[in-house]
Amino acid sequence: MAASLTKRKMERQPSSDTGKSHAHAGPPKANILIVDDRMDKRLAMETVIEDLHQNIVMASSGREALRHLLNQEFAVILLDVNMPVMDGFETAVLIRERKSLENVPIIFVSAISDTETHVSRGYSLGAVDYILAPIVPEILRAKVAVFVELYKATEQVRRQAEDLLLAHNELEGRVKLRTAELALTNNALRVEVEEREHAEESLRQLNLKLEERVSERTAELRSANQELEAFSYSIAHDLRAPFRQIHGYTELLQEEFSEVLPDEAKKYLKRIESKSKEMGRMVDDLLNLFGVVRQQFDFANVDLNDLVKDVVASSREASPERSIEWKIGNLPTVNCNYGLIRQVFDNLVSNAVKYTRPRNPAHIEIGCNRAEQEDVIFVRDDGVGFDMESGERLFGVFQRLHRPEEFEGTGVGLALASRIIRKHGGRIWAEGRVDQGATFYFTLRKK
Amino acid sequence: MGTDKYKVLLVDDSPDDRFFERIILERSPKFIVVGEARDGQEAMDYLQGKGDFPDLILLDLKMPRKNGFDVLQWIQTAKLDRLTVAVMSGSWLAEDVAQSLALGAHAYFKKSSTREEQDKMIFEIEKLLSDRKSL
Repeated sequence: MAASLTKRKMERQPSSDTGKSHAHAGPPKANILIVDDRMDKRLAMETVIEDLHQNIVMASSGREALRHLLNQEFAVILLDVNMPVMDGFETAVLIRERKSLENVPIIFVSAISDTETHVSRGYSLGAVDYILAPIVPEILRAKVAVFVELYKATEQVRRQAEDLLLAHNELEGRVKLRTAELALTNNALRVEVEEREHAEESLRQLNLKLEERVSERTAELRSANQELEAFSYSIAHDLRAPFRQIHGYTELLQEEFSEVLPDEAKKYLKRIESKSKEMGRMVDDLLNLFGVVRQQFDFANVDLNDLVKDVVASSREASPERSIEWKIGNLPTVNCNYGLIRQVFDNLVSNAVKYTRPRNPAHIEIGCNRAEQEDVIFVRDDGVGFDMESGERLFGVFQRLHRPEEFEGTGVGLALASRIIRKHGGRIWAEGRVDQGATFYFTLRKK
Repeated sequence: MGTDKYKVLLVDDSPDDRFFERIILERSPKFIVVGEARDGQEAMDYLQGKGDFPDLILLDLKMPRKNGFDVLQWIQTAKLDRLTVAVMSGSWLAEDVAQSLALGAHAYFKKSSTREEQDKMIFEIEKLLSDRKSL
């Protein structure tokens, strides 16, 4: 591209040499060729058109004129008809033979005596005008001036066209260059896009594999967990008989031999009896806990108002000596397993009753915070509460926050409640402060 | 052996549990243990043998050879209608209770080591037997 530009510039070089290049300061001068064998006539004509301030070139013969014409461009040629060797007409014929000169205006200069024949012949040779000698300076000047102006205008148009072409070519070149650059960029982009797609694909594959592995691993863990729970269940199950039997024997010992046993022995026996009973309870609770996971259960719509009424009534029956102020809000109807959710309320309510033992009267509130997505059911008491830092442990199996002398229990109730709620797709959590009561919250699917 | 006492066959693979059951029953003057079987097969053998035919069987569920359910089924097919069967099990699974009752057990008791529950059980068994007697 750059090479061809340079070539074009070089093609324009000859016209630049004539000194008409628009790169020069001031208006470019046009070349005027005066062809006459007689010096005095040449000088006379030069004098007349000097006023036009153009570039005047003189030739004393047709041959010399042709030489000039080959080297430079001319706005107009003043060509004397009567010249020795080669006259004006012959010169004109030679000029016109040249393709590049076929449009150069020629003004024939002729003596008045030859007028008739000369004029017609001159015009047939492509003359554009005719001047008769003796020359009238104003006419000569005016005629030449017209052609100079014409030439200049033509030149200007040509130059503009050239400039336009140049600009167009340059633009085209730049467009091509830019297009090539764009193509390159495009190519690079396509490569990058392909690379990215490739990377994305491998990432997707990797993700798929990961997901597969995660779900495989999850399934493995789940089945391992189930196996472990089944194992725990069967161990707990098998432990029940010996624990029960140990307890049975201690009862018998106390019943039948208390008279012969020393007091110390009776004290130990009492301890064994109580411990074996506790072991039995723990095992029963464990079985209950693992049983929830093993068992398949039915869901039904349960009105929690009725259920809670039942739970509170049996709690009152179980501890008639306690003074408790109950506050029971309006509860929703939920889709759940009646037996299991009843167990949750049994556990939470019996906990609330248990841990408010130092209060008289105690306050227990059961209610529901209704929200768009889920209802949050709560059981609140003003009992001994707990430290939030140990809140996580609340729902662990056999986790106890109090000494057994203070509050009885195996530490399975909340773990069981948590399992039941999770099995229902809900969440359970607790809030509390030492000596400021506790609130247990859980969510259940809406009806 | 007074004829006014209910004759009982104990069926349990655990000698300890048979021992406890014997003690629990014989706290009441209304019961006498006439036989013990260590599994279901022995129980069926006893019932077909020449031993004292019982009014009541205390039947465990999980036993080697023939289990409690096998015995219940056998009693049904053998049409031993006079026999009262009380299942005594360590299991409290609802499905075990349901299956036992479906196979013709007259009562289902959870094995217990506390005196209170044992007394309650004896009371209920006595009631069951007297109800069935008057039929």
